[in-house]
Amino acid sequence: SVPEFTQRSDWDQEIKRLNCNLGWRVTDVNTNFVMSTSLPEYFIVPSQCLNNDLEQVAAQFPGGRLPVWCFTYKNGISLCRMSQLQQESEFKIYEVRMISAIKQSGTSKNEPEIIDLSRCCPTIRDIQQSYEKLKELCMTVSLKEFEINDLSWYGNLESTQWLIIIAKCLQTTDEVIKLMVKKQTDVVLKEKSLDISCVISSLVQICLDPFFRTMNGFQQLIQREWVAMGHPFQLRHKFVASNEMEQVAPVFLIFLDCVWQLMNQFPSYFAFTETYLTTLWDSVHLGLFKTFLFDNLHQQRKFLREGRKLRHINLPSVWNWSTQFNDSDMKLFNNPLYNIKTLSIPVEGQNGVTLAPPESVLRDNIYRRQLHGLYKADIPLFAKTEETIRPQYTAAMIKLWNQCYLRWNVPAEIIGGGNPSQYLQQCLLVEEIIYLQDTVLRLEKKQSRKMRPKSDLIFSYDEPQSPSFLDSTFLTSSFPFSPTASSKSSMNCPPLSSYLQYSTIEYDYTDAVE
Amino acid sequence: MPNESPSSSSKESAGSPSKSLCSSASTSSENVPAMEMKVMRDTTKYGQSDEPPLLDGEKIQGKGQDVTYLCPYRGAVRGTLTVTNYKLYFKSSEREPPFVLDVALGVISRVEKIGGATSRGENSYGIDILCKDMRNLRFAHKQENHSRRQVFEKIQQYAFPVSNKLTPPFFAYEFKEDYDGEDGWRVYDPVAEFKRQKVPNESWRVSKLNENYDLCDTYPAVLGVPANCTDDDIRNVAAFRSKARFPVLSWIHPESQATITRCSQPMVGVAGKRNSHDERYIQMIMDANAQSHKLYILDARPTVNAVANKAKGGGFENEDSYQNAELVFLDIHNIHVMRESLRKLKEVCYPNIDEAHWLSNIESTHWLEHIKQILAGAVRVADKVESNKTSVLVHCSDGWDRTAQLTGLAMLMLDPYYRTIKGFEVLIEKEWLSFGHKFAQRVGHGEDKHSDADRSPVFLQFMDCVWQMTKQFPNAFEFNEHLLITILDHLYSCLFGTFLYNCEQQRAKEKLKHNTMSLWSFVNCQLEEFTNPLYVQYLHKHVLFPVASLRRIELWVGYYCRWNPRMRPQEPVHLRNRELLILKQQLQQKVNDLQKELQNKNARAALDPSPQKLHPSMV
Repeated sequence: SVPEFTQRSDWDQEIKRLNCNLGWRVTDVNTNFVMSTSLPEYFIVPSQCLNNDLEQVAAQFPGGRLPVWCFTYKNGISLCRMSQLQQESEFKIYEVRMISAIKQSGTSKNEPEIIDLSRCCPTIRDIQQSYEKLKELCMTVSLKEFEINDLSWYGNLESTQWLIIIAKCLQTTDEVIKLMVKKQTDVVLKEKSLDISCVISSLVQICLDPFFRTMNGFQQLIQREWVAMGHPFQLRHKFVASNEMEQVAPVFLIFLDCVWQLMNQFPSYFAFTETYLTTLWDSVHLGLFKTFLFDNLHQQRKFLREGRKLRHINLPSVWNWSTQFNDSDMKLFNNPLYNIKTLSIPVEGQNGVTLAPPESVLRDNIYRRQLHGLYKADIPLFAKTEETIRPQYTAAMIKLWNQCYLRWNVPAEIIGGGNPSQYLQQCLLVEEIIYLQDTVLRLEKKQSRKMRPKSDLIFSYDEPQSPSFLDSTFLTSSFPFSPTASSKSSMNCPPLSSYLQYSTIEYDYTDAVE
Repeated sequence: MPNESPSSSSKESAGSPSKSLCSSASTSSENVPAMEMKVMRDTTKYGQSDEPPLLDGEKIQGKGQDVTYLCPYRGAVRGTLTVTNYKLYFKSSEREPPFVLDVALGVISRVEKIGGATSRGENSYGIDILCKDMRNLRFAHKQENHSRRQVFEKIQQYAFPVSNKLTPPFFAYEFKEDYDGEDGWRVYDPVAEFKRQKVPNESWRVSKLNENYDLCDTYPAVLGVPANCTDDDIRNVAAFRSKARFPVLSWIHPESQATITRCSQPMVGVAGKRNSHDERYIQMIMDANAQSHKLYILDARPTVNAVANKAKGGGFENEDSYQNAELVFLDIHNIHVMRESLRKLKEVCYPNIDEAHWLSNIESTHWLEHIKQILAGAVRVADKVESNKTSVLVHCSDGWDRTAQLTGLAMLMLDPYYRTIKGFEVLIEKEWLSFGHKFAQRVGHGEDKHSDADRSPVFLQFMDCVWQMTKQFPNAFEFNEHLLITILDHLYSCLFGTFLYNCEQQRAKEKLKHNTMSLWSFVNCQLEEFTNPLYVQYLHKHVLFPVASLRRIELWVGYYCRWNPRMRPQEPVHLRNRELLILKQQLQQKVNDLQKELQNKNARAALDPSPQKLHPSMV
C-alpha cells in the first residue's frame, strides 16, 4: 500500500532510500500541527537545524512554511521548497540561515539557487482562465458547432494558452534539472501558495528518479508532494459550494498533463498508461477519497476525527484502486513497453536470443545520427534504462491530451483507430513474446509448462482467436472511455454527410479559373 | 538522400541508395536508411578523405575547398563542398565526427549567388540554395579567386539538366544498381490489377482502345469501361470531355459492384451544351451497379471555380441532363492556392518556429484546412460507395490533380490491399502515374523555372493525407512513415525513373523501364525497412473512415520540420514497436529450431532401438 506520509517512518524511509539521511533529518516540530497547519506533522529539514531554530524561522514565513526538503538526487544535490517571506527585507536573515543550512546538508560547493515560481510560471488565474477556455473548446454542443469551430481549431487552441502553460512548466522543470545535474547546485522553489511548486517539484523527481515512474513510486510522490505537503485540493476544485470561485483552478491537471507529455516523449519509461492518468483525474472529482477531499493533512485529520463523533466515517484512499475497479480493468493501467522490461526475457547473449537485432531495427540510426546526443533512443529498449530524462518543450512537440479532453466528443472519435489500437498491438506483441519465451524454456526442458509468467496486460493471447476486441470497430480513440463502442451496428459511419456542409475556406475567387 | 548529419567517423555516410544497403551480409557497419546514407564497404578508404562516396555512374564535377556551411541549427561549419552529376556533398574538416551534408541536386528549386567580390562582413559571399523539401542551404566562400564560381556553375548545370539540355536529361539514366534482382517496373500490371478486382465481369470490360495513346494521350493504354459501350461510344464521349479524359473505372466494390470512376470536366461551356453520348455513357456506369439507381458526381472544385470554368468551355454536368445523377462540389482548391499554402508553411516551419504563435501560424497557412478538405472529400467518396452502395464519378477540371487525390485516398479507405506496401505502390502507379498526374510539371524536374505556375504540391498533399490516415489507424497499414518520406525524397531526387515525365505515353517513349531503375526495386528489396511493426491484416479487412476534422489532423512534423534537430522525438515509439516485433520473430525462429531438433531426435530414437529411448513417454 502507499504510505500516506503521516508517520515519521514514511519520511525516514524516503531519505534512507535516497541515501541522504546524514545531511537531512525528519523533524517532529509540527506534531499536532502546532507550528503550521499546511505542512504535515513530519517533514524533512537539514540535520543541523534544531527544532528551536525551525520554530523561530517558521514564524517569518506565511503559514509557517519554511524551506523543507523535497528530493535529493544521486549526486547529493537537493531540491527544496518554501513560501515567500512575510516581509522580504526585514527577515531576510532567516531565509539566508536556512539556505546556508541547505547548502551544508549536501555536497554542492555552489550557493543554492532560489527560483521564484511567480516569475517563470503561470498563476492560478492564468490556469483558471485557460481551463475555462479549454473546456469550452472541447465540449461541443452540436454537430453544427463542431464543424463551424473546426477550421479555427488550432487558433482557438492556442488562444486557450493551455499548451503554453504546459510548455512553461516543462521548461521550468528542465531548468531545475539543469541546475541540479549539470551545475551541481541545490534548488529552492519559492511560491506563496502550494500549487506550481507541487507541479515542478513532482516533475523534477519524475525526471530524475525512475522510481517515480513506477505505479507505486508515482502514487507515493503524489501522496507526499501534493497531499502531505498541502496542495489545497478542496479550494482548487470547489467540492463544497463556496463563493471563492476565483480560487478554483485545476493545478493537479496541469501536473497530469505534463506527465502525459513526458510519457509521450518517453513511451517505454513509465509503468503506467494514459488511461491511468485520465482515471486518476476522474477520481479527483468523485468526492469519495480522502486523498483529494482536503486542503491539507490537518484539515483531513480534523474532519476524520470530528466526523467519527457523528457517525462512522471511513474515507478510502484513492490508491485503493480495487474500490473502483476489478483486477481486469486495472490491467488497463499497465504499459506493455515498460512491462516487458521487467520480465525476465533473456537479453543479448543469454540463451542464444540476440537482442541487438542486426540490420532492420537499427535502420533508425539515421535519426540517431542526426540527433547525436539529443536523442535518448541510443539506448535500446532492453538495455538498462537511462535513469534521468529531460523534457522537450518546444511548441511543436507539445500535444493536446486527446484521450482526456476529447473522449466524449463523438464526432472526433476514430472508430477502429487512435492510440488504443497501438496499445492493443503492443500488448499482443508482448503477450506473444512471453508465450514464445515460455515455449523455448519448455522445449529446452528448463521449466515446467504451467509457469508461464503473467504479463498483466489487458489484451492477452489466452483468449480464443476472435474475441470481440479483434473486431476492427471495437476499439475507438476513446477506449476505454468510449461511449459508443458497445453498439456497433451503426458505428461504421461517422457523421460524414455533414463534413462539407459548414466547411469552406476563405478565398478570393477573382482568380478562380484554372 | 537529403540528410544532414554528424556521422560517426568510422562509418562514413553517403547520400544514396546502393546495393550495399540491401545486402545485410557483407558489411560490418550499421545499416543506414535508404535515402539518407549507405554503408560504405571500405570505411578506411573514405574515412579520412573529403571525397564523396559515389554511386555507379556518378562523377565529380566540381569542388570548393574551404567552404563554410551556415547551418541554422549548428552554426557555421567549415569544410569541402563537392558537386557531382547527382548530388552536392559537404564534409566538415574540423569536427569529429565529421559533419556531412548530402543533398540530391534534384531537390534544388533555385540557386543564387549572395554578395559580391566587395561584400563586407563574415560569410557574406557565397551561394544560397532553395530546396523543394522544406529547407534552404547557405554556403559562404572565400572572396579571393572567385572561389565559388566553379561550384556555382556546376550546381546550376546539373541541378537543372533539362533547362540546360544535358544528355541524358536525368541522372536516372546513368544510375545502375542491382537490387537483388528486384524489378520494380513489374510491380504494376494493369490487366492483373483489373483481374484482382474481378474485371472483366458482366458489367465492365478492359479496353485497349487507347493502346497507342491516340484517343487520349494522358491516359494509360489499358482502361476499364462499361461492358456495353462500343468503341464509337467511347470516341464520342472523349470528344465531349476536357483533354479527352472520359470516365473510366478506378475501383469496383467486390460485393455491391458500386464503382469509383474518374474523368475530366465536360465541355458544356457558357451555352450549356449537352452531349447525348456522354449522358448515355454515364447512365451505363450507373446501370452497371444493380444495387442503386443513382449516381453521385463528385466535382472536387469549389462551385465558383467550376462555374468560372464555363467561360473556358468547361464546366460541370447539369443535373437535368443527367437523370438520377446528383452533383456535389467538394470545395477543394486549385494548384495555385495549394502552392501558396505550402510556401507559407515553409516560412512558418523553417528554419525555426515562433514558439508563442506556433498553432496560429500553422492555421494561417491553411495547409491543414486543405488536408482536411481533401480527406473529407475522399471520405465522402468512400462513404457513398460503401454505405450507400452507390457508384461515384469523380472529376475536377482536367482530372489529374484533385481527382487523383480523391480516388487514391478513397481506394485506400475502401480496399485493404492498397494498405500493403505492394498495394500502395500499385495505387501510386495506377491512380497517379498511369492516369497522367503531371509529375514533371508539378515538381519541375530538372527545370530552373522556380516560379513556374504549373508547379504545385498536389502529390505531397496526397502523401500527407495518407500519413494522417496512418496516424489515425496505427495498425491498419503495412508501411511506415519512412516509406512515405522515402517516396517524397525520390519524387525530387531524379535518381529513379518512377516519377519522371508527365504521363504513361512519354514514359513509354523514353523507354524508362529499360533506361532507368524503378523506385520500387529499391523499396522491395528491403521491405523490412518500410514495414510498420504494428500492422495487423486481420483487424482491418474492411473500410477505414478517418475523421476529417482538425481535431484529428495534425501537422506532419516528422516531414515538414525534419531538418530541425529540436523537433525530433526523444524515444520514437515506432522504434520500440519494431524492437518488440524483432524479438518476437527471433523467439519464433528459436521455437521452430527447437521443435525441429526435437522431431529429429524423436525420429532418430524411433530408428535406433536402444532400450532407454523406447520409453513411451519420450515418443
